[in-house]
Amino acid sequence: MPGASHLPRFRSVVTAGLKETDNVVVVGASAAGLAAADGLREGGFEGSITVLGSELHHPYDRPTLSKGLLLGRGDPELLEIRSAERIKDNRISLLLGHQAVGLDIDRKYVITNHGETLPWDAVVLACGGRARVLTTVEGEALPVLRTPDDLRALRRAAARHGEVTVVGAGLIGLEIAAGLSAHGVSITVVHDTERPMDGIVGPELGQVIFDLHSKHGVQLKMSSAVTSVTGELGAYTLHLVDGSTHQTPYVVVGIGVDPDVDWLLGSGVALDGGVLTDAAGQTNVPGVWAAGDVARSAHPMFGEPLRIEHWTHAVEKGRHVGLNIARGTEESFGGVPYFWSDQFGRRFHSYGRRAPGDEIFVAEGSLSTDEFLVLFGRDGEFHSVFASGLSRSLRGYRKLLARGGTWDDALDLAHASNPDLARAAAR
Amino acid sequence: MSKSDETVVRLDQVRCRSYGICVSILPDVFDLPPDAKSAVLLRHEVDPDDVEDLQEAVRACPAQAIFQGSGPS
Repeated sequence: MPGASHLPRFRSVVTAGLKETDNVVVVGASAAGLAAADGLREGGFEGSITVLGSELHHPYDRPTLSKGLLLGRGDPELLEIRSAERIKDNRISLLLGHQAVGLDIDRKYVITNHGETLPWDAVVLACGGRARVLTTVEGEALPVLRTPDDLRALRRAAARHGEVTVVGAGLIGLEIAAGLSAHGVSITVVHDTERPMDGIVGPELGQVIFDLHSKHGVQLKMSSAVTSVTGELGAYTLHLVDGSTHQTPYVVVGIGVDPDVDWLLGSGVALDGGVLTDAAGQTNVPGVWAAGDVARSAHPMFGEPLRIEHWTHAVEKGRHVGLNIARGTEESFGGVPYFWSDQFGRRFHSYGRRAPGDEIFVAEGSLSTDEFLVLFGRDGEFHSVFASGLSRSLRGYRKLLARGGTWDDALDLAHASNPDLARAAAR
Repeated sequence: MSKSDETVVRLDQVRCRSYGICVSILPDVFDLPPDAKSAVLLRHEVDPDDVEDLQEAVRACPAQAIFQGSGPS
């Protein structure tokens, strides 16, 4: 059993936090899991760290699948997110192709698909999520984009058929649409709500994004929930909520990610739309922590526990959990959620989280141009900043969000950084 | 603080994929010129107040192209 035989069982000098923690198992070898392992070492943890990765690939930069690599040509070049050397230096035992299939909280074992029972004093659940599936009436699960193999299949199909329908106009769906369009593939995007990404960015920016894609020839069918799909590769029919149909040779689905919690059913770990944790990352079971896409966590900035499925959030939260375990602390994590997206040469960045019904304030540029920066907030609260280009202007707002700045603080910063606004206000 | 104690930053422009997250965190240190193939460093030393932000930028880089060191660059 890897990782267990060389355990330092008895140790004369340990810090308080490590006293009963010799052995940490991290379930998941992507952003959150690897950051948790690094955080453990950063926090001074000297025991054994075993990281389980369900994929066979060496851990890679997943965001690039729907960003740069979709635009590229040739075989996708995966960028490793941790060199083998760094994993070795940090004394991390990385088990690829090993998936956790069970968690025993009484005897403190993780059980793997290879039948191993890995003992833990603390365990970090960072197993991420699975792309939500859309299945045809005939029973075929339609393709998604989550792994390098998915990417290869999508590129091949796009080249062969020249025409692809994307179900879902969230971040990943729009990145697929923009990436394939750049290769001359004819794209239709089908989405259930009125505008793309409108749950995240609201109606005004949703319209901007709609216009951007339309301008580049993407056909967007909004308010068009898919009720069923029939047919087969080369000839699918999408049946839409208004009774109409849409024919397409190829479908790729981007309708969100579900937390990978099935293996934890009945384990005793509280589940509710993800693994429930407090703001420190602890579950209801002592010694069991969670981070990344699988976790639904309390957060000091938000009223109810949230699953924040963004890459940098997984990194920061994973590290935070690692530090908490190493130091024996239960510090809350209050990092500001962040995402970025590339679409048709535009770079979008967003810090914070827009709430439904938020006021929008254009702090720089204009929504009708390529570059703008807008603020979202309500009732004196500052919730979020979103920029198209202008990434150099984000830092001040990011800092403001981190320290709980008000809407007035945000407007003050906007006026101080943009002379045009000050002039307009003086008039 | 002696010169050798300064925090320095290094950017691997081969690994860099121009995500630009670093620019949103530390625009005084990183920039992404239009049409450039990678991010660029505007300076090599980082102020003590900004070291935490630099460490966050290092962690936040999906391409793992940013490195922190100390001593003269």
